[in-house]
Amino acid sequence: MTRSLSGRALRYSACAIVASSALALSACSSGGGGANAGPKNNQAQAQQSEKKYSTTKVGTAADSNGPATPVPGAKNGGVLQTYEESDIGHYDPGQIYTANAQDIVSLFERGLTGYKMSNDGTKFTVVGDLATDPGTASNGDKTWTFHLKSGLKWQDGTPITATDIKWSFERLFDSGETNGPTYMQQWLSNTTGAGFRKFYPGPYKGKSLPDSVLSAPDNSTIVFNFKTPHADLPYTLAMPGYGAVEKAKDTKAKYDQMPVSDGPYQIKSHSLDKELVLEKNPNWDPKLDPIRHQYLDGYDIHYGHSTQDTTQRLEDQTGANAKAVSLGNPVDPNSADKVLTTPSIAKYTVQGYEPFNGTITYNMTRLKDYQVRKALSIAMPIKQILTAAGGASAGDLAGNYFSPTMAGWKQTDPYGKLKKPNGDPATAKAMLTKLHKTGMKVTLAYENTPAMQNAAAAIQTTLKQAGVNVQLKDIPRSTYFTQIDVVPNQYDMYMADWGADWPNGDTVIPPLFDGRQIATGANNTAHLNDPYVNKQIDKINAMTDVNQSQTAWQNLGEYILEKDLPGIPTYNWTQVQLYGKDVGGVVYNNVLAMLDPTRLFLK
Amino acid sequence: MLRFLIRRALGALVVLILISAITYGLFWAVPRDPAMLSCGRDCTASALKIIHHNLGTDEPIYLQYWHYMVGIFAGRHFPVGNCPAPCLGYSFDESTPVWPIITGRLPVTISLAIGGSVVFLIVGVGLGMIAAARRGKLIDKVATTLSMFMYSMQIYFLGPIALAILVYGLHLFNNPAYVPFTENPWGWFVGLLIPWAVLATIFVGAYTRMTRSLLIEQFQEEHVKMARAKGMSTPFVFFRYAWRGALSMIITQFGMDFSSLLGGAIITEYTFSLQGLGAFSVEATDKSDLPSIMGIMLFGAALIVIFNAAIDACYAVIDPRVRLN
Amino acid sequence: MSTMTMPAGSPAATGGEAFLSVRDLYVRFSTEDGIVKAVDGLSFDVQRGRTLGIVGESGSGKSVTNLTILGMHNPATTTIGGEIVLDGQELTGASERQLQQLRGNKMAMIFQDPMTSLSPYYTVGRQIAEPFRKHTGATKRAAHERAVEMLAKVGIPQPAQRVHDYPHQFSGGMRQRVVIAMALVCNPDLIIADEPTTALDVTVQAQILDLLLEMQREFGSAIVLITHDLGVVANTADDLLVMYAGRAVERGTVEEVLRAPQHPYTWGLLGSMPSLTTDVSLPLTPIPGTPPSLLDPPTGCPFHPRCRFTEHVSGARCRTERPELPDGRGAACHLTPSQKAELYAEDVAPALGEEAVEAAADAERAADAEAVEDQVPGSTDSEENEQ
Repeated sequence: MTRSLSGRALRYSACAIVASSALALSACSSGGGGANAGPKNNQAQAQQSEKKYSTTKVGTAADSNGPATPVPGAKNGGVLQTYEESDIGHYDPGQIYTANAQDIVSLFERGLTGYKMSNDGTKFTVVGDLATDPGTASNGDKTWTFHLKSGLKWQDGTPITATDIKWSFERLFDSGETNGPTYMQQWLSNTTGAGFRKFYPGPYKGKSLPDSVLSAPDNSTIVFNFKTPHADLPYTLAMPGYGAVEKAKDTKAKYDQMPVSDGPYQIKSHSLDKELVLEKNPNWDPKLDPIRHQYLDGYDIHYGHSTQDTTQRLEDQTGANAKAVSLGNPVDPNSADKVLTTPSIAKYTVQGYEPFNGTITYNMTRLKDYQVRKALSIAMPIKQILTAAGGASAGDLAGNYFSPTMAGWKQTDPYGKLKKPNGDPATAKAMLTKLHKTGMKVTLAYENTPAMQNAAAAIQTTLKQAGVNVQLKDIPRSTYFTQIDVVPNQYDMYMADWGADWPNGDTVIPPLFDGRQIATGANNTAHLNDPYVNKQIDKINAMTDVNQSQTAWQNLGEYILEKDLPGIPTYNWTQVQLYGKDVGGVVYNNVLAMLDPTRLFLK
Repeated sequence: MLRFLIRRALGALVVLILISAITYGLFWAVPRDPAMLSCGRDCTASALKIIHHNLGTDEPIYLQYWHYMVGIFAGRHFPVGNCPAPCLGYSFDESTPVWPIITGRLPVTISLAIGGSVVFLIVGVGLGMIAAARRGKLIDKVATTLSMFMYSMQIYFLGPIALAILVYGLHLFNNPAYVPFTENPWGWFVGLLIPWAVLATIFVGAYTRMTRSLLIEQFQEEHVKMARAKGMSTPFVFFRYAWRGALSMIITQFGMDFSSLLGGAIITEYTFSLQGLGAFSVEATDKSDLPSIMGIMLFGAALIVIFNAAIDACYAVIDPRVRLN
Repeated sequence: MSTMTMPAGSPAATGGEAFLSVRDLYVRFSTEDGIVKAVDGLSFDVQRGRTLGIVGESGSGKSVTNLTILGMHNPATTTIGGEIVLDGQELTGASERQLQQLRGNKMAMIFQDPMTSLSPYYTVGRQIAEPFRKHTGATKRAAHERAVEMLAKVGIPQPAQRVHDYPHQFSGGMRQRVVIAMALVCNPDLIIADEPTTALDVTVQAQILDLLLEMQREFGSAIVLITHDLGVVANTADDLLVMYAGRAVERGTVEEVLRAPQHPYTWGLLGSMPSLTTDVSLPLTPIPGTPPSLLDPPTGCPFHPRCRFTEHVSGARCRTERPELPDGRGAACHLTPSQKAELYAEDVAPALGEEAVEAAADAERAADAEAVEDQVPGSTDSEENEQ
């Protein structure tokens, strides 16, 4: 997931605006007193929701059959009011990338595969959604075949065919489709970057992709042919950015505002930036959908509501506010502590992980000595960094580079950070003294948000005790990534975070740590170039068993952390959300990093 | 009179052209390539080129500006979509032309601006008039203190307090929301009552102080004293002479405030989750949606210029020195 | 007893007939710094058809006196004492309503600056007609005709057209004519003109003064003319009151005061005023020092810090004892009449030119004669009038 497109960035956007307007609100600096009182100190802890680790695996054809497992106690009827930060803007599946958009469109857009979540939110299974199963691989994972379930219809009643599916992928090559993920385009064209646009200009001028790449041999079969193995294709296709589009109704740019539904709901009306009204799609067949329900008569999604606004409404829990939710807005950081410690409100919270993992990344072009990086890492006060970000409601301390949302995740802690989260400057100082490095100067770059500034100040104070002189480089939010992405640059350390696109290590390790991808604008900002790592990346990418590759990525991550140390993990992002007490079926979806929208009902 | 108005309108046009050129120049002069923003994770030179073409930024800047200006009157075609006149640019983030976004949000902003203005004009100017007429008396001291208090208020402070008390505490009102006047006038009125009151509060303070000091200044004017010396009654002197003199300054200030309110009451809209132009400008800035920012800036500038011209026309009506020179 | 010291028609002589009578007037403003004694025990009378000039430096209380007569002071911060009687009606205790009936009707005011004393927003016709309609109840039409008539009277050409013009369309002199027309529209019995020519070109000044006198002849009004310019008074006024620090310091007919001034302050005013008849080589002698603060006026004679002649008075009387202004012709000064005449003739007049020297010599002789007479027993009947 690109950093600037991350759901988190979008959700916190209003915060940054408030802060940058120099208004005296401390909405964003959720550090300080309130955040120090972590959940462990709270009596209310037992009553409130818990963050659940989830496991992910690829399922079978049997798992892919509808209908979805019923939600206990679910009732039919009613229109749910939801309040969201801002209009997701795009409704064309090809333009969907942000968390909020992925969450909302999952009500009316479906792809070949999808995530089926257990009712408690702990087990995710990649299943066939429109397809009968999560795909059949052959030719060493280079050829993938999918069959459409029979009886699938668009909202207008016309059947969904393999031609529609082929068209859905072809149109992603059009120059107008710039906001969605680009994995499939790159894999199909065997190119990198935006090279796929030269490979094929899209279908609107009459040319289609050759059958040797993507073919629809009959009405219900679709075959992908890649030049390289892609074992995790079922995960990739589960991204809502690869949803299906009805060929006959594709109106190019206009389709972005009025897509044709194949899910349980369809768009009744949309007023840009104000409101999206969804009603039941009469042509949706629950027996053909293993993931979604249709308990509600419709959704009334209101846009333009800040986290402060939604938190106030949902804390209220009276009248209409009891029957409302926010699918995406977290609890306002300023109110998080109050919400979690007030039992009557804490009852109506859900918590979960987001696929983001924060690190202090070292610029290895400048900090060449592993021992120095190790000393810095040992001194690093990761708890104070988390505190500055909002404390327990913002995240959990991290021992490694993977978020608990990742498939095959396990907790490791090679540098003992979880035991000494405030840093161990004394040990670090002893190490640096041996290296004759005490008094060394390092520069730390960070976004000039209050949270980051507080974190930077904490780092500076603690590292000073280790004999390290930290120079702070405060960079405006809008240019932060373009500055630290420059190779070479003059910073020694940067605060960074990374979110996986799907819960597999190949959306974490290769973009961050592949030594062949060190370039201005790329994401290997540590400039790690370890031949062993590079070789392993190629090796794991070639694996055909997804479950095997998950373990391999996890092990490679461990190797990098222990042997190379391109950065020290700080915390895994978590989120706390509130919901109205009359809303049932509320489960935090770790993959979408929001409330799961497809199982909600009104009590 | 007509010549004055024509001259003023031409002047406004020149200012608008200058503002548009400067705004345009500023936007493309920033070190940040707008195309980079929508380029994403695997951005390459060729991808950038395509986006530049989509944005129309692969042309020299003077040509870009020319096409932009022509687009306002004739409309434009972008590779990603059509942008009918008046085309203020195409938002790639929203996949729509900017103009319909602005016009779609304008009713919210206009409602907020008009309602808020009515409140602060009536209360602020009224309080200022009472304070000036009874200066030195208790009511003057109360009004002056109150206006100082309100003047030092901030919407982002007052707004949440008003919500906490009136909506969440006492349940006297529902959450503020915009309902189109044409659909439900009563709903429109009730839904905007709290935003109007909060928005007006800070203006009330300023207008009370301004009206009071302008009137007291007028009382010292010889022609106002002359009117008293002629034996005219106190109300007559107050309204026909002192008030008349203060009026033009109040209109000037009001014109400026109102036009900037039409450009979007950013904090008020944000506080009450109203989807007006101010909220749009915040969103566009946050998403670095440059065409939208550009469009809204030009629109705001045009409003201010037009309103200034309108104020000048008002002067001509109320001040014979302007009218007859 | 000389005829010069007690001429007929001297201001205080015929108090009962006075149209405006001010007696022992006190005006005090309370400010943040303290109490300002703007007017401190002032008395004077004006008769119909006569013009009283009030002369003094700025801050001497001239304008305050006149605003007080019109009742246009701010009652919240001003304390008034003494009495003001206009045509038998007591004004100091009058209600605002009663005063409104008098203003613009029985008494009218002409302000200093014609540029600012007309509202820019209304036509001159309307501004002239307003008080006429208010005080006479005339119709709009009649008031309009009256405005045209008044404009014609004050010498505005093409009055029927110009009545529709706005003040900014007139020159400064023309505007002051409009102001006069406005002041006189109800035939007021008392006109108070506060520096009516100060803001005007010198060539226009005389025209405006002539116009005022002409209007006075026609309507028989009493005029109080406030000015800091003795030249203006010399040609216009009948009687003269010299004010200093909120008090009257010298009083008499214009001729008396100008030919034989008795107060060192008046001498100073004359000395600092250029005259066409004097030799150009004679230097102007400004009064040393600055006018006193009215917050904390000097003890004794308020002029003593600036007075060159205090050593001629025995003891420290100038510093300790406040000299009284006698009724009628006289000055508030501790110098004896003969000292005054002598000092003026020897010390002051030579700097004012030949005419002044001659007049001073006459006055000195008269004063000496009087002094001799005073020593003759049986001639005390004249003392009452003199002191």
